[in-house]
Order: sequence, then structure tokens, then C-alpha cells
Amino acid sequence: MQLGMIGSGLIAWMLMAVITSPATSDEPAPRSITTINGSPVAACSSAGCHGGGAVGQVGSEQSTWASNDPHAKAFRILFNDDSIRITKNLRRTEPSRPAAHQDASCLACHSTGGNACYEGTMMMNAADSVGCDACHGASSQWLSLHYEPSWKALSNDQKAKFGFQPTKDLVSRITACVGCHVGDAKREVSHDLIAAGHPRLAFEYTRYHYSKNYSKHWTEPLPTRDFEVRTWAIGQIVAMKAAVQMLHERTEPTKFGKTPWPELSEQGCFACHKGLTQPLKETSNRSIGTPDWQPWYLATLEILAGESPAIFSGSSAVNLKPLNELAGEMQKPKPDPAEVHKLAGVAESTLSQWIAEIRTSESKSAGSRITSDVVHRLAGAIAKHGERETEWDRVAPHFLAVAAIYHADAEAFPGWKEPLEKLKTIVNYPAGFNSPKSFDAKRSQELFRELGAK
Amino acid sequence: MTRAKLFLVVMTISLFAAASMWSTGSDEIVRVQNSLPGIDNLQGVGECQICHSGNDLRGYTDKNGRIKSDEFVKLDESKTWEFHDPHSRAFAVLNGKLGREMNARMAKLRNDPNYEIRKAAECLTCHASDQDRLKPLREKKIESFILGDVNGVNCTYCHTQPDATTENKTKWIDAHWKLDSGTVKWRTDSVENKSKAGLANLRDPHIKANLCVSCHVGNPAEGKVVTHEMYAAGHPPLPPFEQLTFMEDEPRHWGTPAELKFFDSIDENTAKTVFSYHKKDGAAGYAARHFAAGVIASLRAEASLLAFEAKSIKPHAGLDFARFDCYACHHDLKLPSDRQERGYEGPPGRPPVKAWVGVLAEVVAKHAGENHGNQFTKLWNELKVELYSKPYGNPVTVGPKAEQVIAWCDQFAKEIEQSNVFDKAGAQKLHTAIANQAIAKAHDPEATMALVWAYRSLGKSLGTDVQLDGLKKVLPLTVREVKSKKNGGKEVPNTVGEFTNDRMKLFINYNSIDFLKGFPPAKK
Repeated sequence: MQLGMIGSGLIAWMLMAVITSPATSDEPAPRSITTINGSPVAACSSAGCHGGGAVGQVGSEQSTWASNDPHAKAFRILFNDDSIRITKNLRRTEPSRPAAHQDASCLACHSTGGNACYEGTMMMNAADSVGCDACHGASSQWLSLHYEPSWKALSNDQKAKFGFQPTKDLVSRITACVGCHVGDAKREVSHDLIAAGHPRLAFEYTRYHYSKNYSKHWTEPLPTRDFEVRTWAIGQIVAMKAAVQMLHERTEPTKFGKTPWPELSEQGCFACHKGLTQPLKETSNRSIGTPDWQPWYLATLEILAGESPAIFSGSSAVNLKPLNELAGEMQKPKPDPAEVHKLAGVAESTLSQWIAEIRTSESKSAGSRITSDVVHRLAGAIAKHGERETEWDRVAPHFLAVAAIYHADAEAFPGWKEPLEKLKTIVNYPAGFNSPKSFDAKRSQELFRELGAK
Repeated sequence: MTRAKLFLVVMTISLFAAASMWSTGSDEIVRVQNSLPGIDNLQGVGECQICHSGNDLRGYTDKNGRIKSDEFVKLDESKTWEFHDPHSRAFAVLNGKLGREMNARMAKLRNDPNYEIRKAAECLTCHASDQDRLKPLREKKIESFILGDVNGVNCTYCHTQPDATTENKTKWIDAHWKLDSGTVKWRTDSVENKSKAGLANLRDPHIKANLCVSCHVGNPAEGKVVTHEMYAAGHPPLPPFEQLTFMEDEPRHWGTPAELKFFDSIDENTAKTVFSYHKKDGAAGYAARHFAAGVIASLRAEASLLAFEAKSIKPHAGLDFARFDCYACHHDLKLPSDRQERGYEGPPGRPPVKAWVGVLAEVVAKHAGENHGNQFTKLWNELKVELYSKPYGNPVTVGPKAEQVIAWCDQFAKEIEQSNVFDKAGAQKLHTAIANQAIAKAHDPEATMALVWAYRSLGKSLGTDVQLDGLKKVLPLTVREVKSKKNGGKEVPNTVGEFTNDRMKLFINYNSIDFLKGFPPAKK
């Protein structure tokens, strides 16, 4: 295996033919190189670069990715039983639908393809899967530069001109994640696809980052508390923006009607997908019988908007009125797409402005720390907010939020472990179910109250 | 003796009897007292109870109090209605626990603290007796409803011709019992004359079915639409309508022609033209025609609701959630998923139509002939394409397709009226076709349940006693448990809301493999 990697890396290195254009000022000129069959992963896996073979160590990023990163398996799972069943269900009304491993809508997220790939080609193979370029940006213009000292001197904006995605910038990194884990104009897990068998998307960055099933091929410079609270917060805002952008795109007048409307995956799954029983459970956030638009991403955003200046030094408190107005329209049984488009545009601007402020804050005050007081206040506010929630799609993100903050600084929250463990049990789906059957909202509210009181 | 005089005499006797029994604390007498309407209220139930309560006023009960009449009517209809039939509690339930909860939620939804479901026309159209049945919802007035806990959906509501003039609405009430006008003459008088006198021809299975489905499926022209908003506020989901099973579980307060001596005495033509009864087809034919009529009426009603909704909304909007299969969305998600295994009619993820409507209609249309079957399949599939073209349907295209289905239903109902495919042999074939449809593919639980109901009910009329106990844990085998409940010392029929949970649990846990293990059942 290691010999193979070394061999392929060597060949990649040998095949690098640098095509240069005249350099201007102090920036290096973009250069292209040739890779093995256009595979960026193969190019990165040189033993002397990122294919060192010591999983988890610097210099072995590609090896770490290949050994224990779900992204490395993204293409292969298109051949498994679940994928076959999904295709079978989709073919009932679309008989010509290709197999998942050949279906462009699947490959958009299950391979390194399109603009994200080295030479703009779709890498439809298990070796590439969701590989280096998928997250770090199409490497044709920077691959031959990024190991040079001059590259390290460039700013993120300068690197971006070469197509490089500066993933050390947390906003940039999470923006790359949500392209697939929430979606964008070209990539979407629709309700049709979910009904055919694809898992729903419910993105929360820290849940992935600290997953036991995810061996990261990098290390974080920030202390855990700062990193985790920041990434939790950025994840919420960036994911919300991605969702709003998709809605804005969907309702664009010249495109409206080309994709399903309403798109049911934008709504809370378990507002509908629950067994009917009497007595009815009251809903806290909307009129009964109406859909709950993006509860996963909206759940804690209001709290975050108020605490933004404390978390991101120099940013201002955010007025979420435009987003709330959008949610109000979307929670009508028959939302007006023209009105939705208008409101989504305003909400998107609000979120973009917020993200821009965070990015500025992050670049200017990377050394600043989130104080213990802020962490406590944030966690307390979320716990208090969680007390009023009755529906799983809103309770679960509250749980993930307090769990992330606890995980970030456990010593600061004595007495939280036990109620959090209990809450986790309540939020977890029962065995054999893919939904929170008989979700105990009352107990959840009690536990949030308990957390808030500590 | 005029009817009014007789009424006064009977009232006096009843009240005297009631007074004499008061000291015994008889619940029944108190009930009768409470039930008697004002003397001017000719649309109430009290007047009917005089003859139809099984009271021994005219010698129609034996010494044990059992009804002796098996001639033309049973004469205990009011008793059956009051003590066993939930129609009698249709208005009262609006003030029950669920009714009060719904009231609070509807008031919140409508942002109207004064909202009362007991005064809301949208509720009363099916929960009270509407004397202006044919008026659209916006023109309904509270004065047109007969309100009161003892009325509910009462005798005159169903038995009065809905388009009769005010003057004619009560003529039949006099005519149908007046001895001096000759009872038998009234009985055998033409359908047209009876209709002119204001009597609805409920002997005709199609008229009966259309009346039933107007509430049990819906009728937008009469303001009878259960919306998703109402369901969300707590209204129990309407189950599939299958005429035979509903008749049995109501329970039926009338005798079928095969059970009543009178029908032995009349000729084939009179039976057919006056009573829509095909004598030679017997009980099986009677049942088969009722099954078919219920199926066509249900399809027509559902298509009417789709057409109405499609016309009422903006082109970009989807149809009301209530127009789709409730349980397609409302279920816990399982791994592995029975739904994903059995597949979808449209693209996965698009709420499906109420499949039972089409699944039953397909059986009847094919049974009536290949041409009918093909016509139905084409129209129904075309309608479904538009309903699945986007989530909750495309109203621009759903409306015209639904209108085509309505037109087909009307034509088909006329054609099968004269058809001989519902004789005893036809009923037997239909019974087999229902069983074959149930196992032809994995249907959703409501469609499967409706087929099982029809299989069981039609089987009874054929003398085929089928063992369905094995399916008890898979599907609800009855519309409701027919049993009376003690309520403050008074016996009352149980209501839909009281057994909804049990039904929903079975649907949520439904698995087509479990069903196929118990169906078709072994014959006894």
C-alpha cells in the first residue's frame, strides 16, 4: 500500500510539467501541472507531500483521509444496497435514470467533480471520491505553488484567486462543507431523494468535526473552547445562509417551477412524519397544521444574533427580522413564491453582512479569546430557549448546541454531564426507527430547565 | 284524525307515562322527554320516535318488547339511531372533550376568540341537520340548521329530498303514515311522486351513497369539506368509505329487501322501478350494487373536492394537504421502510392521493367491462400524473382532469344501473375480484382495509363466512366498534374520536407482508 502510494506520488511528481505565465508584482503566477489521469488525489498522495503513510501525522494527510474519513468512501457507497434501492425507487417514474455511480446529481456530492476538480472533469472513481480538491479548491492553478515559501506569505484572498479554498479560515471551511451538507444551486438532497431512501441532511459542524468516525487530517491551532464555540456559531449562520440562498434560487421567477415547489426537505421532517395520536401535541412556534420551515437552522439563531458581538469581537448584534419574515411566509400552508423570493433576497443580504463581519473579526482578532462568562451566558440562553421547545426538529439543535459548548469547556459546566446524557437518550431515535418515535417533549423541557438552573 | 291531533294525543300519553314512571327513575323516559321537539319543529326527531322507537303504540312489538314488524319497515329505527348510531351524537360531540379542544384550537387558528364550532357552518354542515343542504357554505345561515344534542344528523335530514321546496319538504311525513291515504298505495307510489312530496329516494343505492359520502368523503357544493386545518385542530381522519361496511357498522336501522316480507308481495318491475331492487339478484345483488354505488360516489366526491380546491387556489399553490393520503406523511419513519420497499405511484416524496378511492373504483370499473376498466384507468392515471407533477399537485391541470373523472362517474353510474353484472353470479365474481385486487400489489393500509371491508361485507351477502380474525392485529376490520356506552346513566353510541388512536396505531405499524400472511383468508 505504502509502496503504491510512494510510487504513484513519484510518478505524479515526475509528470508535473509546469506551465507558467509571466509573473506580476510580488504574487506568483498561476501554473498548471499534469496529474495522473487528472486525479488531484493521486498528485497529493506523494510520499514526500501528503501521502506519508503515518496516519494522523503531518505529511500523511492523504493517508489519513484514505484510511478513516467518510469523504473517502463517498463514491464507493454509490454501489451499496441503499444506493441501489434509491435508484430503483427513482426509476419507477424515471426509467432512464442512471445508476447512482453514474448519476450526475449523485456525483455532484459523492465525487470530486465539476469546478471543484483539478481540471474541471468529474472524477468518477473510488480513489478520488470526495478528495482534496473538493474541499481545498480546484488545484490546477495552485498545486505547483502551494509548497513554496512565497505561497505561505499570501493572504487568503490572494490564494483564493488561484482557486484555493482557505480552509484554515473557519468561515471558508464551513462554507465548503455546506455546499454538500446543506446544498446549493446545483447540489441538493430534495425530498424526492430522501423519500427514495437518501438520509436527510441536518448539518451542525461540530458534530461532524468531533465525530468518532472522522479522523481529521489536520490539527487546530485554536484552543478547544474557542474553536468549538466559534465553529458551532459559524456553522449555524453559514448553514442558514445556504438554505436561504437555495430558497432564493428556487423562487427566482425565470426558474420557478422547474424544481418541486414547495420543496418539502426545507421543512421540519417530524412536523409531518410522526404517528397521529390523540391528544394532539401543541406546537410552540407556528400554527398547528402548518409546515415548520428550516427549524434545524433557525432553532438557536435568534440567540446567536444577540451574542454575536461577544463571540466575534467587532461584529454587531444582528436584527433577524428579515429572516423571521421569510420564515413566517414559508410557514403558511401556501406560501407565495414571489413574496418568498423577495424576502429571501433580503434575508440573504442580512446573513451575508453578518458573515462578512464575522470573517473580518476572525481575520483581525484571531488571537482573542471567548471569555468564560460569554460561554456561560450563551449556554444558559440556549438551555432556557430549549425549555419552550416541544418538537424534535427544534429540540435536537438546542441539544447539539449545549452539547458542543459543554464539550468545548466541560470544566466550566459542573453538573451538566448527567442531564446532557439523559437529553441525548431522549433525542436519539429508538432502535429500528429513523425518526423520534414517541418523542418525550415534556421530559426534554424538564432537562433543559435543569441545565438552565445549574 | 289529523297528524297534528294524533301527535298531541301521543304526546299526552307519552308525557303521562313519563310522569308515572318518573319515580322509577327510568332513563328512557327522561330521554324521551328530552328528545321530544317543540310541536312546531317538524324537522326534529321526536315526531319520528312516536312510531319508530319500538314503543308498543301500535302493537308492533311482542310480549318481550321485540319488534314484530318484518313487513316493510322495522319500526325500531329511532331506537337504533339514538342508542347505537353515532349520527345521533353528531352535534353533541361538538361539545365533548375533543370538540371543546378543537374549538379552542380553531378559535386560535382563526384568531377569533368568539369562534364556536357549534355555531360554525363549516362544522354544522355535517354535524347537524342542515335544512338548506344545497346552499354553498358562504350562504349558509345558522337558522337553517336544526341544533340540539338530541338531533345530530337526524331522520329528516337524510330522508328529505334536499331540493324539495319548503312547502313540500314535510308532505311526505304526513303521507307516509296516514292510514286513510292507504299505506300500501304510498309505498308503491312512483319515485317521482314521492320525491315531489319531499321524500329522498334512499332505496336507490346511488342516491344513498351520494348522501353518505357528502359527509364521509366531502361535498364542496354543500359546504362539506374537512380541511387539513380541521384535522390539525383535532378532527379524526376520515376513513375510507365503503358503503356495505358503513351500513352494517352504522348499524343499519332498515331491513334489506331480502329481509322484509313486503318485497315478496310485489312484482319484479315494481321492485325495480320503485325500490331500485332487482329481485332476481337477491341479497347478493343488493349488496353488490350498494358496494359499486359507494365506490363510484366516493370517487366522484374525491374528484369534486380536487376540482373545487384546484379552482379555489392560485396557480403556484398546492392543494390542501387533506386531499392526500394522511398516512403517507403521518407515520414514524422506520428502518427498513415498508413504504420504500413497496414503492411509490409517483416520484418518491410527492404526497400520494387517497389510493383507496382509485383501488376500489378500478375493481368496479373492470368488473363492469373491459371498456369501462380502460376508460377509468386512463382518466385516473392522467389525474394522478397532474397530482404528482409537483408536491400537492398542479391546480391548473388537476382541475380539468378531475372534472373528467366526475363526468365519467356520472355516466358510469347510469350505465351500470341497467347492467346485469351485479346478479348473484356477478356478485360472486366481484367478490373474487376484490380479493385479487387486495393481493395484486402492496397497497397502502387504507386501500387494503377498504378492500378487506368490501370482501367481508360482500362475502356475507353471498353466504361466504370468511375468517378474518388473523388480520385483527394488522388492520381495523370494522368502521368502529358497535357498542353502546354508558354516559351518565344514559346509553349512547361511541364516536369516531374514541377509537381513532387504535386505528392510527394499526396504520402506523402496517406492513404489507403481515397482511399477505392472513389474506385471502381460509373459508369456514
